[in-house]
Amino acid sequence: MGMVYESNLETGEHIVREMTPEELATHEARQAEAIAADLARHERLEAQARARTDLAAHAAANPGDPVATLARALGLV
Amino acid sequence: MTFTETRIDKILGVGSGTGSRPAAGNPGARWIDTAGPSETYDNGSSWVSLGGGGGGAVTKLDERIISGSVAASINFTGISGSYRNLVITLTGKTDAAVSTTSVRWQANGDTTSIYDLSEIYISGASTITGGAAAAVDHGEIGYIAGTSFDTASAGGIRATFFDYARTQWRKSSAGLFTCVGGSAGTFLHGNTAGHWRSTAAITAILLYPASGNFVVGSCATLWGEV
Repeated sequence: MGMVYESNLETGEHIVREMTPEELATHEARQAEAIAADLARHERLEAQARARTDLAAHAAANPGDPVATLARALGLV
Repeated sequence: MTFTETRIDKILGVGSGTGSRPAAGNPGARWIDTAGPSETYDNGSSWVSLGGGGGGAVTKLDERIISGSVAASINFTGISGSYRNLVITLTGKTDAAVSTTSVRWQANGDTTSIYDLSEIYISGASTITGGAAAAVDHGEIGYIAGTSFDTASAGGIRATFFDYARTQWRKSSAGLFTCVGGSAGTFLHGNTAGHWRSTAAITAILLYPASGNFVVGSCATLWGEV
């Protein structure tokens, strides 16, 4: 379980304590949400990378194709 | 000896001690204390030390380095209103088995959904992406690495909280970050923005990773910028 670090700049107190039950519940609830968001981001990045790879392959195989011309003009390949 | 003069609309005062120093309220004015010697700066409401040894506009207010066991959060409280901006620098990593995770902030213990955030980052050689969220319960200062792809590298973040003490406007932050692990073998770099829909002066900032805990060795430093 993660500890809670607290600094009171007025008093100079530095405290390290365990999470309260409420803090622990909030902390654990965040985990599933954050991991799902992380996976979604990866899927999005991987999809973008795949699209670029496909586009580059298409442009190499069909250099005169309008899509290839546009992709080159936009700097995508 | 005490004298004042107008210099680019700023009053420079020199004296021994602060007894003859005028009341604060002339932003930008400087007072040189020959007894110290030291120099102070009028931020409009109080006199703030500029530090010694050539002067400095940034003061280190506090620093926490995680040791012993991981930390779910770091909370700076009792923050003085004597500065114009607050800056947080953070070198850290989460213990969660994710590629990266964002580092979130909440001000003054406010956990209600009155924050907004946005982010843009590049991952790998050519992929730029981003996102935004409105009316959530946190702002965001940047991303740090998780344990999925790299165990030796952390993330680095520098974020500024603008004009945090005055009650003129709602509060916002802007962050710059870099870390490994957007995906296997890639490197992540980007910017974040956070917004708290409150005009209250910020007196406390809570930092926590969206996923997991700050690992041992993570370091958060709070700076005051004149």
